[in-house]
Order: sequence, then C-alpha cells, then structure tokens
Amino acid sequence: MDNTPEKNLDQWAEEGGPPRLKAGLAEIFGSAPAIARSMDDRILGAAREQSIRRNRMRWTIRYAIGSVAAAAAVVLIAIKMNRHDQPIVNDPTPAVATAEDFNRDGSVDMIDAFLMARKVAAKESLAKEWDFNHDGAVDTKDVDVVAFSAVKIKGGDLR
Amino acid sequence: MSITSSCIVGFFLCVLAAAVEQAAAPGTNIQQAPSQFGTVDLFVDSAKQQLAAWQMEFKATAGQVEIVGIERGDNPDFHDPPYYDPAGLKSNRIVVGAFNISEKLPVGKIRVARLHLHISGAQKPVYAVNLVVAGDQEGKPIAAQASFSEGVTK
Repeated sequence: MDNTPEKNLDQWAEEGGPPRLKAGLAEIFGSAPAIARSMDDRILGAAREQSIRRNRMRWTIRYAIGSVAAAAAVVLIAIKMNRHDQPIVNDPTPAVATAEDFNRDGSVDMIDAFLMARKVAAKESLAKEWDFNHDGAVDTKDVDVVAFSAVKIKGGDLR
Repeated sequence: MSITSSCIVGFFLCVLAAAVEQAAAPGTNIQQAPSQFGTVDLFVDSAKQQLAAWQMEFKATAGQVEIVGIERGDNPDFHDPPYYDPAGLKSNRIVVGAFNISEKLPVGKIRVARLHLHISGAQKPVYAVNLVVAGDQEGKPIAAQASFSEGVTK
C-alpha cells in the first residue's frame, strides 16, 4: 500500500485511518473495546435530541428579544409623537426680575409694557439696556418684546 | 433569522397594527364627535378706576377645545388686538393682555377680547379665566374682576 496521504485519503476514511497509524495505536493502547450498534444509535439519538432542544431555545430567545425590542421601539415612538399633544401650561409670574421688569415687582406683565410704552411715547431718557431686540434703538418694538414676554406661555396652572 | 431581522419584522408588525387601529378610529370619531365653532368674550371690570393695562389667562378646563383666533374687544381705546403667545393657539389655554397709554381710559366693565374656539366632542366645554394683572394710568396694580361670556356656537 502506498502511504502517500493524497492518494489514499478516501480509502483511509473508510478503514478508519492509515494502517500504520492504526497498528501503532493498537500497539500502544491495545485493541479498542467493541461497542454495540444499539448503544451507538442511542448516543447519537440523545445527541440529536439535545441539539434540537438547544436550537429551539436559541430561536425562542431570538424571537423574544426581537419582539421586546420592537415593542419598546413602538412605545418610544408613540411617546415621542404624543409629547407635543400635551396641554401647554402657563405660569404668568416668573420669579426672576429682569430688565423687562420695569416696576421691579418680580414678574414681567402688561403693566411693565405699559410703563415702558409711556416712557417711549414721552421720549424720556431711555436706558440702553431696554433695547431688547438689539436694533440699536429703544422704541415701540422693544415695548412689544416686553408685552410678548408677559403673555408668553411657560408652565404652571391657573391660580 | 438573526436578532436584527426579528427586530425589524416585529417593529413592522407593531406599526402595521397601530396604523390599522388609527385608520379605524377616525371613522368612529366623525360619527360620534360633532365639531363646531364658538366664541368667548373676555371682560375686565375695573369698577370706578381707569383701566390702562390688563392681562388675563383663559383656559378650557373641560371638553375638547382649541383656541383658533383672537380679536380685539369693543372698546375703541384698546384699538389693537391683545398681545398673546401664538403657541397658545391650537391649545386649550392662552394668556392675553393689552395696554393703553392714551389720556382717555375706560372704566367699569369692558369687553377686552373675543376668542374664537373650535369645539369638538360631545362633552360641553367648561371655561375659566384668571386676571393676572390690571393697572391704572399710573401703572399701579388695581383690583379688578375678569369674566367671560360664551357667544353663539355654530
């Protein structure tokens, strides 16, 4: 027999290995114990059953993760889409006094706009800090800024 | 099928289910929820004091109401429409206000604004107003009363 691996590969596969290797192994470990065909089939069957169970479990986990992820995505999208539908609430009394708070009562309201409008109409001395729209002049447009600031919807509830 | 593919298939199934549900809903809404337009007039009563500035908050506390427009009141001294935040339109609450720097200022109860509303649903709307501030010719806060009256609904 030729011992060149390329030529005898198929034959060795049928015989369970190269003859010289088989002889060498038998010399070292003795002859292999005979295993009954039925035992072989039982082991094979058990292995197949376990493999099927493992595959089934793997698919179940995949579908479960997929479904949960999809449901979470839909819930997130729904929340995002509905967020703008929430009723806007208003707090007409901001606590922080600003330059727009003419009478320094702690809130910007229509009285502040009125006081500024009177000053603008009377051409009284107008502070540069009242140039709320930053156009270089203190005029009725700045009064509008104060008035719109007063009615701006911010948050809170009817008192 | 990979996890990603499962996610995509699951997502599309959920979106499809939501779309089917939403498509079915408008038909029933049209039949069950009548839609109409109405007005609400806002008043400020400053009694015997002159009214130079006012600001009030309006809210529909019940019913499906959208504020769709705002017009001035019937007092010639407050000749411009009141100031309001456009963000309040298409919602059920808004803050409106105006001022007047003329010498001749109104006293007593005056209609300061008219709100145009879109009312949908069978529930009768309930409204509330809150006077934020009212001021006299000196810019001093005054005691005043805010009120409203519902106009014709079409």
